[in-house]
Order: sequence, then structure tokens, then C-alpha cells
Amino acid sequence: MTVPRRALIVVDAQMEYFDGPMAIQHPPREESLAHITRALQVAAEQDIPVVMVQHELGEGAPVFAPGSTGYPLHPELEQLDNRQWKQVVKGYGSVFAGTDVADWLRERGVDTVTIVGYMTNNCDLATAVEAEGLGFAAEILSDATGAIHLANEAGQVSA
Amino acid sequence: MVLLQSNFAAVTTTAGWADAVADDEALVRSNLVVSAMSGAEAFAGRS
Repeated sequence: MTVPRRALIVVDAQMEYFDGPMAIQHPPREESLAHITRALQVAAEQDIPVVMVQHELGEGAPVFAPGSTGYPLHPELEQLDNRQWKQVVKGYGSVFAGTDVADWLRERGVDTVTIVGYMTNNCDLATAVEAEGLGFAAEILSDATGAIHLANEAGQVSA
Repeated sequence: MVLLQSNFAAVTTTAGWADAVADDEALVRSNLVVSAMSGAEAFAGRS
């Protein structure tokens, strides 16, 4: 088996997921945050490229509005050395949609993306699905991701 | 995570990933056929 050439993709580890209606329900969010931090440490030690993604909706949007308290990365990530990260703002579920992330990864010879961050039942899933079509293998770290409960006209599912 | 492991992404823990990175190893993902057969077995007798 060939050696994977990995990149670590940190999806939307923003304050929106730590307080308010979008707060991560499972697994405990402080635990997943600690695992995200650990994964970033491994990436730094092993020279694995890092893509740090933030979701942005328009000014005045109820969530993910620039300048709102929910928009910034968690302070624990803000304090890390970000000089080697590719920092990306996205507006769709998938990290690849409407961004140059796929090209950036290909330029670096990456063939495998490791997904951490939020939410498992939205943007992480969308990113894994689009990775398939783009030709990247995907990995996801179960203890460095998190989900919320959902309920709507179609039914309900817990985190 | 079951859905992801069945086709889209290999699922592991952060510790398992750190070991795989250190060892230059790929992670093992299931596939849809194996997951489907295991699923049929797991839910046999249930509607």
C-alpha cells in the first residue's frame, strides 16, 4: 500500500458551535476541541499541511455572520501558531465548494484529507462526499468532530 | 460515522490517526457491500 500524503482539514471550529442553538451535542465539545488541538499538534510535528476553514454567512445572518460572537475560531485555536495554515472562508457545506482548496492540495501532492471539526452531520459529511468526486481519499476522526440534534418536517435525529 | 465508514471516509480516533501518521500507514475503510451484508445480519428479524 502506498504511503498516504495527507492534509488536515479543520472544518468550522468556530464559537457558533460552543454556545447557542448550534452548540455541539455529541461528543462533548470540549473533548472534541482537545482532540482537534492534538491533531493540529501532530500535523505540525509531521509537516502535514493544514487547512483551517471558517464558515461565513452574510452580515446580519442569524449565525456565522462576520463580526458576530459566534464567528471567530475557538480561542484555543486562535492562540496556536497559524503561520503554516491555509486559512479559508467558505459559504457552502463542503470545504471544496467555491474555494481553491482542491487545487491547493493538489499542488502539494496531497491525496488524502483528514477531516476534523464541525458538524459531522453537515459540513464534515459534505466535505467527505465531495472529496470522493475530486479524487481524494478521506479520513474522519470520530473524537475530533461533533454533531447536533436535528428535527424538522422530515423527522428527527439525535446527535 | 457508520455511514461515513461504509463508503466516504475511513473513521478512526485522533490517537489511531496519530499512530497511522507516525507509521506512514493508510487507514482501513469498509465498503458499501461489506457494510450492507453486515447491516442485513445486524438487523435480521427486524422490520
